[in-house]
Amino acid sequence: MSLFNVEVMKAEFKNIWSSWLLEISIFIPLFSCLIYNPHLFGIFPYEDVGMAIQEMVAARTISVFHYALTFMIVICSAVSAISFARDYEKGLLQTLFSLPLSRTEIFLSKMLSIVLVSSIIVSISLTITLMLDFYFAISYLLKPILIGFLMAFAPLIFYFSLSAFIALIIRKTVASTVISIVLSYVLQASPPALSDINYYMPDKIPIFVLCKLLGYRSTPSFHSGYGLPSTLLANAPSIELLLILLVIYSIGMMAVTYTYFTKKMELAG
Amino acid sequence: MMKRIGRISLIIGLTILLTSLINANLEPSIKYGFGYPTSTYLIITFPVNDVNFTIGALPGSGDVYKGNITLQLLDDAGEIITEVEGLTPLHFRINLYRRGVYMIRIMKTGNVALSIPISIEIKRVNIEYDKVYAGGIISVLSAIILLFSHFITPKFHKKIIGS
Repeated sequence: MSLFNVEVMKAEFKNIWSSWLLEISIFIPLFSCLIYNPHLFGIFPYEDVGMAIQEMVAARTISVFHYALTFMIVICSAVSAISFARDYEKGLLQTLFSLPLSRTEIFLSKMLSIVLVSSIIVSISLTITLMLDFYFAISYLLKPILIGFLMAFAPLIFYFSLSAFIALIIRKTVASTVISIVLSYVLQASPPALSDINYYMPDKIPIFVLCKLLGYRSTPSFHSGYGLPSTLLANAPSIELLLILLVIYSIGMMAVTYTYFTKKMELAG
Repeated sequence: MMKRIGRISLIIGLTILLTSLINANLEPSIKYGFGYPTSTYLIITFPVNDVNFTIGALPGSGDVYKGNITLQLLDDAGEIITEVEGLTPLHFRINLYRRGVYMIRIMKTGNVALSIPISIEIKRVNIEYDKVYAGGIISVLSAIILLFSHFITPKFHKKIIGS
């Protein structure tokens, strides 16, 4: 039994490509990354200029990634809710179930296509912003962009699954989209900025992981912009703990929605 | 396909252009004081004009290191942009219109403390012209792609179908 179906994925990509939501999905994260323009300069008493550039790039990546991911999560939630609820309302889901396709294939193909496109858009925002700010040091940008792309996957899977679950329960396009957008925004905005709760939020964990992977040190020697307070970034838990939490959140939420979709969902309801 | 690519790249170009213009006049001046060893890197990721250096004095601290020093400002290729020499506190100003890595090298020629405080005041340029150019070029190119896909491609298709 295969996990993904190419035709379902193609149809989902076609839906995203032809929808006006794609333009909005590109505009909002990119605008939020570019409009936040802190005073990016620094003085570094290092022997190696590479270390100084890396620190500057890391600080900018963290703030840009935070903004891009925050807005992309909201858009991804909306797209996921629309995808499931609209397919149900149009009777497309019923047609898909009647075809020789397993529900696992349908769910995972939809998830992969939406999450992949969302991660690519986060990377596009990250790439454009970093290239505009650091065109004099292009060779230092590949690593943060690649890690940013990979780090966006887990929170997007979590919010995709949450919105898909809401859409499958409500089964009304407008209602489930509105609820998904509000819920994804409230979940992200609810913890106070300096609270330790941020360490355990699925949308904030990738930022702390990114911070550790890029070797960002919260030194007072330069002035830059952060998506999160620098004290919070400096005192983050170990990378292993953060990654385990991230996997538990995304796989856990995905398992709940997947189980409902494949085992419990009745089309007659 | 061409229309879609054109529209998406037009959005990217216009977003870059729009944000550069919105960010104009945003907090144009920054002032910092640092105590650093004799050689240090200065990385600037936005074009600035009027960088005002004061070597040997931190603002408000009252400490002034006396001594004769030579200060060199070098670009990333190691070329000397400017060199000043004098008794601390030493002041000089320069325009740096290019984002990039600069190196400040201080050579002590008198009885100066090991760590020399540097005070820097940077004035941002009002409009980051490099971003405006980038946004403008992307927008124009995507507008050409859009025009091409609206007028040329359908005619081409008709010609093929007609023949």
